[in-house]
Amino acid sequence: MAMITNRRREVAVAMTLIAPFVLTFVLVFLYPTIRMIELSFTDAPLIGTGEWVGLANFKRLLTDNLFYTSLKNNGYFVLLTVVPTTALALAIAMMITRLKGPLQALILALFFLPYILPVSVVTQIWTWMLDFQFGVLQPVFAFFTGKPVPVFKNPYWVMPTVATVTIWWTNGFNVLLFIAGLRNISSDYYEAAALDGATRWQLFTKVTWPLLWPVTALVLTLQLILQLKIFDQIYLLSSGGPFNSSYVLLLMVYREAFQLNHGGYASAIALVLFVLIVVVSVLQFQLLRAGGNKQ
Amino acid sequence: MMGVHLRNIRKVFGPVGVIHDVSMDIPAGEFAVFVGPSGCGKSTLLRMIAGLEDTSGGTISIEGTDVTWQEPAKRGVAMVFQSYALYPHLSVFENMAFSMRLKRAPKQDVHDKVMEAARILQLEEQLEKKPSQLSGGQRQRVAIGRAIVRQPKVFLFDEPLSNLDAELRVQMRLELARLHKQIGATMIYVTHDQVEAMTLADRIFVLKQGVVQQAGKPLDLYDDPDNRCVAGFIGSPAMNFLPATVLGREGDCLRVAIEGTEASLMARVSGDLPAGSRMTLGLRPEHLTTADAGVPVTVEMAEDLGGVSYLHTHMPDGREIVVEWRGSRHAGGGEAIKLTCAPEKVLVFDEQDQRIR
Amino acid sequence: MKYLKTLLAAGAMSLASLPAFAQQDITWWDFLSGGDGVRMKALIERFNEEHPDIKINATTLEWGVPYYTKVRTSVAVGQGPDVMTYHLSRMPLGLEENVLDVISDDDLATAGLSKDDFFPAAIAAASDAEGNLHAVPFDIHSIVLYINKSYFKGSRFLDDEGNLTGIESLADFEEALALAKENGSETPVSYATADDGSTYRVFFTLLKQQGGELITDGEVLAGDNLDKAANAIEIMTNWHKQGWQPEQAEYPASVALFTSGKSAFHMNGVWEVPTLVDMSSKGTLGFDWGAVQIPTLLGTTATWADSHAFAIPTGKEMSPEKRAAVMTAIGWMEKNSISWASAGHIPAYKPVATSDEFGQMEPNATYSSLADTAVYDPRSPIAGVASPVYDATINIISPAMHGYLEPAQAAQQVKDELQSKIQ
Repeated sequence: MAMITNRRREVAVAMTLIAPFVLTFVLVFLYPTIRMIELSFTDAPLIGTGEWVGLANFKRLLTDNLFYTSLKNNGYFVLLTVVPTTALALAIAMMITRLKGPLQALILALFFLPYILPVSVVTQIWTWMLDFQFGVLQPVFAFFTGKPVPVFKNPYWVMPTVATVTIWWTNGFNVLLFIAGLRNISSDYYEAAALDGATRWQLFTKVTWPLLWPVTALVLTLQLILQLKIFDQIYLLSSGGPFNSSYVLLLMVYREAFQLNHGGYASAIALVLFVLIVVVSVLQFQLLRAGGNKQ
Repeated sequence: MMGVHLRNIRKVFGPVGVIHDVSMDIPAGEFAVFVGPSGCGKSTLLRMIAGLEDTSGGTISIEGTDVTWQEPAKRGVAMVFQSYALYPHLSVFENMAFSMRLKRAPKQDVHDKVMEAARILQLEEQLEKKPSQLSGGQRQRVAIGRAIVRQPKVFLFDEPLSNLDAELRVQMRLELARLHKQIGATMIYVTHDQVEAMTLADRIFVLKQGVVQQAGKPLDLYDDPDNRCVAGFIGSPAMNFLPATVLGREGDCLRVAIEGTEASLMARVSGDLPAGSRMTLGLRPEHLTTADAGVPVTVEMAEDLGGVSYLHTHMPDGREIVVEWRGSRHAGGGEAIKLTCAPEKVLVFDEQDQRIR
Repeated sequence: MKYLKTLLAAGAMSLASLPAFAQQDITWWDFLSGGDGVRMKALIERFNEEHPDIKINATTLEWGVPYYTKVRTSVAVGQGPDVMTYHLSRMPLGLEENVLDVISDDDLATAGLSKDDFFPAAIAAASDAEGNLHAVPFDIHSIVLYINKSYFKGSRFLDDEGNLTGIESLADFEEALALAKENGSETPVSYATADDGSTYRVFFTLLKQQGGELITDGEVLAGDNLDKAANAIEIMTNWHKQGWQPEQAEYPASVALFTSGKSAFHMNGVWEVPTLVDMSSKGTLGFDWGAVQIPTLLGTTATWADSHAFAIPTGKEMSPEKRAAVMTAIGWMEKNSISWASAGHIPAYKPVATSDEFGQMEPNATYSSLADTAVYDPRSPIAGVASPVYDATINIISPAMHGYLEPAQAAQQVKDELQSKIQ
């Protein structure tokens, strides 16, 4: 009997402890999400209610060329950022861990600095540096391509450039994760491997890489989710152009909702993006875990 | 010149010297133990032999080859780490096969050698498991197995048992001793536990502040320490040290007055010390006996272990003396007794803590 | 009890006396920056000085999408301003969004105005399908052709009085461009080729000059309008190829190209007139300038135009007193719009537009004739400031004229993209 009372009390305490989080979650995530799903089956404007239209929004989405363009661009952007930023962060982290003392702190701070900047500052900096007429980086382009390149106005350059800016901006955080991961690897492993005659490359492939895999999988998954949600940089740097070559799903959601007042259709796109992110990230994490186990 | 030989080895970290002019010879097939308090440089010395630390001066040779500047992998040594350093993502089999995989050894070869090591260490059942699924003792065995597979000239152990509980430690100690007999390779073992040193070693090297204090067979060190450091480190419970003053020579003995008491003891030494000089007496707990005349002490507490008791006593000035007691058991405490010691068992150390024989 | 009665009586008295002394605070939003902003701030200050019982609290927000997004969202939750500036080109979308309150004849009377005081085109643009007025037009502004006369000295393009002449076709204009280039002009005709608004205004003007229509009966670039759009893009592409227009120029750069004397012509809104007037009077301009209506290059005389207007948001609980104060402010602004005209605009309020004072104002008087042939954006929710039409311009027309796409394909793409936005 006493045990039951105890158990009850424990449950009550547990409930009280998680209540603030649950309430916040319900209020600012669950409820809006449910409303968004509801909205996606109506022809509602941005604000206010609309008529139930069933699957019409989704049917329309399937015939909307811009949706396919956006989907393709999202995929292209993920390709341009996720793996490169992870590889770069790992390389930088390995370089930084070789440094000692204040120099290490300084270099780490330098790499981390962009991460603390707001996106508008980041895009402003790069807009200046890449400005077609006055950008300090244009001589570099002129050196390699023979003439200045209006990178955000050129359909071929725009996505790689936005990807570069994004990597520059967010890489510091990944470097930090990798450094934490690298510090977690005991030096005994390296010494044991050195005694066993491992070369530098073998140290990396047989010790560092497999022991770092959980961190790598985490970084890859976080990056995938983050980069599928690309919006700010595109909105601020290229507005989706030229020729929609940088048009992405969230920009489509934004334009439909805030420019064209199509709340229902925008919700439908947002819902598709939401499902896409959930499915892809879960799939990727499972695949990565399987990959890790195999080793 | 087989075995491991160090000549005038020095190690400097920045301005600080940690190993000072160490020379030692470890014959092939011997089990050598480096022992000493923490910070004495024993692990550093082992890592220098392994090649994991650079040598600042002197030469290291293994099996007749100067390896001072050779890479760790080419020295023919294998090391067992305190943390075991087992790769968590690899199975027991792959952990043991790691060094051979690096060299891309033929599959059959790898299989044979790993199975052989597994047989010696009774790990055949565990080969497919991951290290996280093993007990502490099993992990320890895998770490040793990994060394065995390499068939090194020298095995190096860096405090390998310190992560195990007391019972397992005793068991592993025996297994290590058995293993040494079985494969007969040269082994160098670092520990701060003098019991491990005494039970495992063919030869003990006692280190303190980067200097070898004394080297020799365990019992030689026990019976005939060169200085107070070795005397105090070897033996459990530790030797009692009493400051004293020389009164004068009486035949082949010196009569010395124990400080803080009226009592005096005889010590059989041939070396001469002038009357009035200060020195320290070393008395092992098992050599102390009660007598009518002797050092007066009060028994504070008795640890009765059954066959043997340790009496924790203190002198009038509060200094503690531990006495080993066999036979009749002591009950509470508080009684006053007088202690003496046979002159030939009394060790004498001068003011520089060096032994006077 | 007696005390309470006294208190109540005192309260009632103070309430009764309130309208006479209470100051009406009006929350005012606009998107006016630069020369426009300076002049509007001066007008508001003057108004506040002359009206001790009304105080306008003005906030200036960022022009374009940010402004209209904020208006839409804040009006929807009843947090909009009391009065705001609005582009008439955006009326269709504003009406669809239902953010603009009806302004009745009574309201106009409060302001001392009537519909007849305004140009009919402006009133039509500010009204819904039923003829209800939703905004009070304030000005008509269009693009004009700014000229640096120094490049044409002694050529056939300047008459005896030093005014631009002899440009009656595209060929004439391009001859002038070639001449200017020869005379050392780096980019003979500058406009913001990397800017949505500027590029759109030039494109739309060239389309309309061919008699083309962007949207007819819900169809984008119907029939031969597609070819006319392609032709307009072709012309702009040619100017790029010939090196006559600047490459990827942002708005400030395009203005700087003209003011620094590197461009013989500059196509831009009348709102840059004050910049040139100021520079000219300070003596920092360094050349003789003028501004004229965009010449008829393609047969039909037409110029893109838009109007700033005042609107009252819907969904706001507004006391009659406050509404009266708002209308008073609007009426005062209209009657004092001669100050606003100094920002280059043509007043929408006829008594000012036809006044002698405006007739003397240069260069406004020179180009005020364009009001008769000015063409507003098509009445469609996808057209107007910060609309999909602007997006399509920066997304398709601007890169196309820089050589990334054939004009015909670009026109087709504009058609497809905009058509898909009409739900």
